[in-house]
This record gives sequence, C-alpha cells and structure tokens, in this order.
Amino acid sequence: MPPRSARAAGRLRLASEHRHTPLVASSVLGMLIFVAAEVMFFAGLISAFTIIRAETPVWPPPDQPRLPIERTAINTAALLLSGVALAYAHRAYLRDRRTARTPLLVAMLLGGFFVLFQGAEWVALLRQGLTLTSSSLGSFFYLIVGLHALHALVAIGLLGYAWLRLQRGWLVQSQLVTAEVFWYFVVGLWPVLYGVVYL
Amino acid sequence: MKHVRSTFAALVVFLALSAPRLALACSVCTAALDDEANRAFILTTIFLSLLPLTMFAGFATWLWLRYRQRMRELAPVHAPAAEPTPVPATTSLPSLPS
Repeated sequence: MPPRSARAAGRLRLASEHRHTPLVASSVLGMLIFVAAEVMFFAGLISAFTIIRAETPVWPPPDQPRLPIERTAINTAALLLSGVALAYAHRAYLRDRRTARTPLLVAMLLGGFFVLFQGAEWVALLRQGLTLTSSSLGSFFYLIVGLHALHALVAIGLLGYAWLRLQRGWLVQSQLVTAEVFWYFVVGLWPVLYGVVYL
Repeated sequence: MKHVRSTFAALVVFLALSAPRLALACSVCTAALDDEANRAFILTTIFLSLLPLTMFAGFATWLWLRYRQRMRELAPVHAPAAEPTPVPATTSLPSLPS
C-alpha cells in the first residue's frame, strides 16, 4: 500500500495531466460541430426532395433525361476508395509520418477524380436538356449534387493543406484528424445522396 | 333575453357548420392528402427529428469512451508492496556463546 502522500500526489498528477490535455482537440471539435450542422442541412434538402418526389405522379419527369446510374456507381466506388486510402494514411502517420504521404496523395487524387467525373457528367446532362429550371428533378439534382461537389472541393483543399504540411514535417495529428473528419463526411454522405437522388 | 340567446346559438351553429371541415397545420399541406405524399411527410418528420438526437447520442457515447480510456491511461500504477520474507520457525533454542 503506497503512503497517503504518494496517493495524493498521484491524484494531483492525474488531475493536472487531465486538465492540460483535452479529450478532443479544439480543431477536431469545431469540425465535428460544423459537420453536424452540415448533416442537418443536407437532411433538410433530402427531406424536401423526398416530398417533392412523392407528390409528383410520374418520377422522373417523362420529358427529362435519365440520370447515369451505372457511371456514377463507378464514381461512388472511387470516392469510397479514397476514404479507405485516408484511413490507411492515418494508420501510416501513427507508425511513421513519412509513410503517410503516398496514401494521403492517393486519397486526394481519387477525390479529384470524383469531382472531375461529376463535372463531365453535368456537362452531358446539360447537353441533354436537364437544367436548373427544366424541372424539379433538375433543380434538386444540381442543388444537392452541386453542394456536395462544393464540399468535396473544400475537403480536397483541406487534404492538400495537410499533405503540404506533412511534406514539410509540420503536420500535427489534430490537423490530420480535422481534415479526415471533413473528408469522411463527404465520403459518407455521397452513398446516401446516390441512393436518394439517382436510384 | 331568451330571443337574443336563441339567435346567438343559431349564429354559432351556422358558423360551425359553414367553417371548413378540414384544418391543417400549414397552408401547403393539402398536398399531404395524397397517401404517398402523406407517407413522405411522416417519414421525413421522423427522420429530421431523430437525426440530431442520434448525432448527440453518438457524440456523447464517443466522448464517454474516450474519457474512460484516458482515465485508464492516466491512472497511477502502484507496484504491489513486497511481501515480508517469512522467518522460518525453529524449535531449537539459539546457542548461547560460551
């Protein structure tokens, strides 16, 4: 049994360390709160889309082009793979920081591929006559998918920033996790949007 | 007085009967009379109500698990006190110096 003073010192040390190391880094907590707000924002859009779709007798509108389900499935797979690459980058960072560069770059490139592919898809749909004002399908499609693409672009920017800091040896773990939280939000949201809007 | 009361009662009955039979919570909800739209309204209401609660619950659980893990990591580890070496019992008397 340790003496009473030693136990008190142990408790003091515990309280002191606990006070100075927060459970969640401030940047990560801020990003989590932001992501929660974004989740509710997209939930509102999905709800509005679901109600409009239910009120329309024939869906999709007969005079409108069909959304490319198969091609977008490939794009979805690319985005999910980028999430896997980022998880691998995190594990590599914990082992040896230098080994995290390649998987982080792969995650960014796959994200870039996703956005570019989406852009090409949009150009094709616009040529076929699906515009923002052509129907409620077009309005919701460009609003929901466009906002997701905007989030993807910002998230790629965050990953790029993390990659640059990693290159220079300045990247701390909380910065990587902050970028990860936003990217996982973008990756996790997309299958839901794909299921609601495309299928 | 009786005449006034009966007129008032007739007026109330007339107004009650001429009032719209259906009162909805919002002006655009007449669309929800359709079965499919009604179902969509109910489902999205449930979805939007439960989503923030689920997020809060998930975050609180994650925070609690992290806290417990942190407490385990920070708990002071005390080595168990060494047992005193037992002194062998002897039946013989110690020899006295001569």
